Amino acid sequence: MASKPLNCIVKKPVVLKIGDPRTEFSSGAAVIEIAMPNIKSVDLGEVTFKNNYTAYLSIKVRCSFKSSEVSGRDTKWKTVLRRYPLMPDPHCEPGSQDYFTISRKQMLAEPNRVAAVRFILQQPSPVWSHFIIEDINLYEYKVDAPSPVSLPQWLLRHTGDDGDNDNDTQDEDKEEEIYLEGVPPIDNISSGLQQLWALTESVRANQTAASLGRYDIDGCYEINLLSYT
Amino acid sequence: MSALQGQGDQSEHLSVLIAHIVQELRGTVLHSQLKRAAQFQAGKPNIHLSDLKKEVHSALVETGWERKLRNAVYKHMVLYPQMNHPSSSGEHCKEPLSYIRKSQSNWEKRILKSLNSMCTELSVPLARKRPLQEQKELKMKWNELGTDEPDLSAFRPVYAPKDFLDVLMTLKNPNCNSSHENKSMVHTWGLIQMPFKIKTMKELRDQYWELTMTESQTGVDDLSEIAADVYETERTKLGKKVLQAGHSPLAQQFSKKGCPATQRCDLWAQILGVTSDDIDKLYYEQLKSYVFQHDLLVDSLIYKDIKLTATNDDNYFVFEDYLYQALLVFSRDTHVLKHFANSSATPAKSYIRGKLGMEEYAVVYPPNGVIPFHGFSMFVSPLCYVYHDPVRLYFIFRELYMRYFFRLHNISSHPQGIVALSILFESLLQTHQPQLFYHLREIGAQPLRIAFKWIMRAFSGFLASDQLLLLWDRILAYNSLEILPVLAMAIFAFRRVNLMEVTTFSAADAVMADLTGLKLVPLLQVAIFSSQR
Repeated sequence: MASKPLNCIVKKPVVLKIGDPRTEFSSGAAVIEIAMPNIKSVDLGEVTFKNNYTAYLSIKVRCSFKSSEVSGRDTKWKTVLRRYPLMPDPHCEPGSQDYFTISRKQMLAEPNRVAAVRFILQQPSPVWSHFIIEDINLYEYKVDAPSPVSLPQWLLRHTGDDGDNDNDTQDEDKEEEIYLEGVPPIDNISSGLQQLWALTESVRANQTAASLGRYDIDGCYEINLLSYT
Repeated sequence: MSALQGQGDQSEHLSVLIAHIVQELRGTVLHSQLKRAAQFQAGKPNIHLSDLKKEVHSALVETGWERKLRNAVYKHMVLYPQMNHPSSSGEHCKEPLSYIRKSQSNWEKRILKSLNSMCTELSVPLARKRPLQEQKELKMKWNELGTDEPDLSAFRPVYAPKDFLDVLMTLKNPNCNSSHENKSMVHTWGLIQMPFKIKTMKELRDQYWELTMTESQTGVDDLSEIAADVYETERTKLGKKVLQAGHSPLAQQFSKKGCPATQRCDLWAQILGVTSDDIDKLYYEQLKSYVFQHDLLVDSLIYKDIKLTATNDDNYFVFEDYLYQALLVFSRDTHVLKHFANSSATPAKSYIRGKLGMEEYAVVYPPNGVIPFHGFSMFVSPLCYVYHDPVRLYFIFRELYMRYFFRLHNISSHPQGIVALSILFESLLQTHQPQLFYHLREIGAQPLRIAFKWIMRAFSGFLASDQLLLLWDRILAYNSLEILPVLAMAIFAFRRVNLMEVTTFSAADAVMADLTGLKLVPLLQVAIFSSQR
C-alpha cells in the first residue's frame, strides 16, 4: 500500500438493460471499465475500493501479448475474480459500505501484462435503488519488497558486547583498549551507558499506554457553553 | 468484513491484532508484575542457564501468572474493535454506514443544543471551579449526598427513552428502494424499518442452548420445592472451583446458567477482568478529588435523575448515596473516553472560558464524554445489591458501561446497538406472535413503544431486582445484549391473553406496567425453546 496507485481512468458504470431501455427494469448487473491510457501493460498487484451496495464482484482483465503474437488475440479477456461476495447477505447492510482490498493471491489467474480492467458488479436484491463501487485504485505488483533497513555496523558491535556468548568481539576490543589514568575501563563506561540508554528507551516505550486522566487544562475547567463544531 | 478476506489476510490480521495487544499490555501493572515474577524465578539457585527460558516459562505457568496474562489478552480481544481496512477513515471505523453516522451526529447536535439552552435559560455555566469553602463542605458530606436537597426544579433530563425512540423511527436508508412493489420486501409492521441483519430464532436457539429446559438453571432449580438446597450447594461448590481457577472464559461459561447470589460479585469481576487493587483505589480517590474541585452542570442532571428514578423505587432508594458517588466519579473519569473508539458517538467539545476556538484550549465535556439521559442511574442501581464497596462498585459499573450499556443510547449499525435490538424485538414478535402484533398495531399500541424503555435501560427498574441480576448474568455470560429483545418478546407472549382484550394504547401500557412478578428463566425458556420443531 505504500506505493502510489496507478494512473488510470475509471469510466462511468454501465447498467445492463434488457429490452426497451426506457422501461425501468433492474437487471442487477453493471460494468465499470478501467482504461490505462499512459501505460502499455502492467502487472497488477492489488485492487482497492469502497463498496456502495454491490453484493458480488467479478473482475476481468485484458492481457496484452508480446508483439510477435497475433494481434487478433489482443482482445482476450481473462476472469481473475468470479462472484466474490462483498455483502454476505445481499438484502442486509453488512458489507454495504466497507472498504475492500483484492490482492493478487485471491485472484484466479495472475493478472500479468494487463492493459485494461473491467469490474462486473452484481446486486440481486431489489431492496437497493442503486449500487456501485467507489474510490477504485489499482496498484502495480512489485516483486522485491524494500529490504529492511540494516543497522549500522558500530551499533551492532556494541550491542553484541552485552550478550554472554559474544566472547570473540570482546577479545578483539581488548586489543584496541587504551588505558588512561583515572578513567575506568572504557568497556565499563559504555556498558553502564548502554544500560542507562536501555532504561530510558523502556521508559519511553511504556509511556504511551498510561494516561494521567486529567481533563482540565492547567488546572482550569471553566466552561460556559458547548461548541457546535 | 474480516470473514470475507482471504486466507492470506487472516495471518496478517492476526499479527496486527497481536501487535496491538502487546502495545496495550505494555506499561500496564500486569506487565511489570510479570517481569518481576520472571525475574524472581530466574534468580532461583536451581535454575540452569541453558534452559533458563523454558524453566522461567513453566514456573510462570505454575504460579498462575500465565493465566492472568491469558485473561488480559482475552479481555483485549473482546474489546478490540473490528479490524479495519487501511484506507478507511477514522469515522468509518466507528460506524461504517454514512447515513447512520449522519443521524448520530444530528442527534448529538440536538443534545448539545438542549444542554446549551438549559445553560442560557438558567444562566449557569457548564463547569466552574468550586470555592474552597464549598469543596470542604462537599468533602464532609460525601457519604450522605442524598440528604442534600438542592433546588433542581428548573433542570430537566436532556432526553428520555421516548425522545430517542422518536429519532430512531425517522432513520431511513437513502438507498432503499421505495417503489411500491418493493415495500412489502423490507417493511415490517414495526416502527423501525431498516435493512439490518438480525438473528433468527433458530440462531438464537443455538446461541442460548444452555438455557434449554432440560438443563438445570440457577433461578429455577434453586427455587423449586424438591431438592432445591442440594442443587444450590452443588452449584456453589462448582462456582468455588471456577473462582479458584481464575480464568475469565471459564467464569463466563459457568454464568450462562446463572450465578449463585453469594458468588456473583466475584464471578462478574472475573468475567470483566476487574481487579480493583491499590492502584485502582488511588485512581478512585483521585477522581473523587476532581468531583470536589469542579462543579458541573452534569452533576445536577445526575442528581435530578437519581431523584426521579432510583429514589422513587422501592428496590433501590436505600442506595441513593452510593449512586451519587458512583455517577459523580464516573463523570470525571477520562478513561471512559476510550470506549468512543468502539462507539458511533463522539464526545461533546468545548473551550475553556475566554479561549473560544483555540485548539489548545479545547476540552471534552463532561470529562468522560457521556451525557446522561433520563434513567441513566438505573444502570448502576442493581449493582448496589452485588457490591458493597463503592470502589469495586464503581469499576464494575465502568466496565459494564464501556462494554455494553453505551450501545443502548447511541445510534449505530452494530448488531448489539439499540437499533438492531429494536428490530430484533419487532421481527421476533411479528414472526412468533403475529396475531398479537397485528392486534396491538391496529389499536395504535405499537409494541416497541412499550418495550423500548425496557431495552434501553436493560430492564433495570422494571424486573424484580433478583430477576434482573439473573438477566445481567446472561448478558455477561453470552457477551451479548440480544437477550434483552428476546425477553421483551417473551413478556409480550406471556401477557398475550390480556393484551388481546385491550383496545387502547394506555390499556396495553397498563397491562405491561408491572413486571416485578415475572420469573426470568422460565419466560426465556418458553420463548426460545417452546416453538422448537
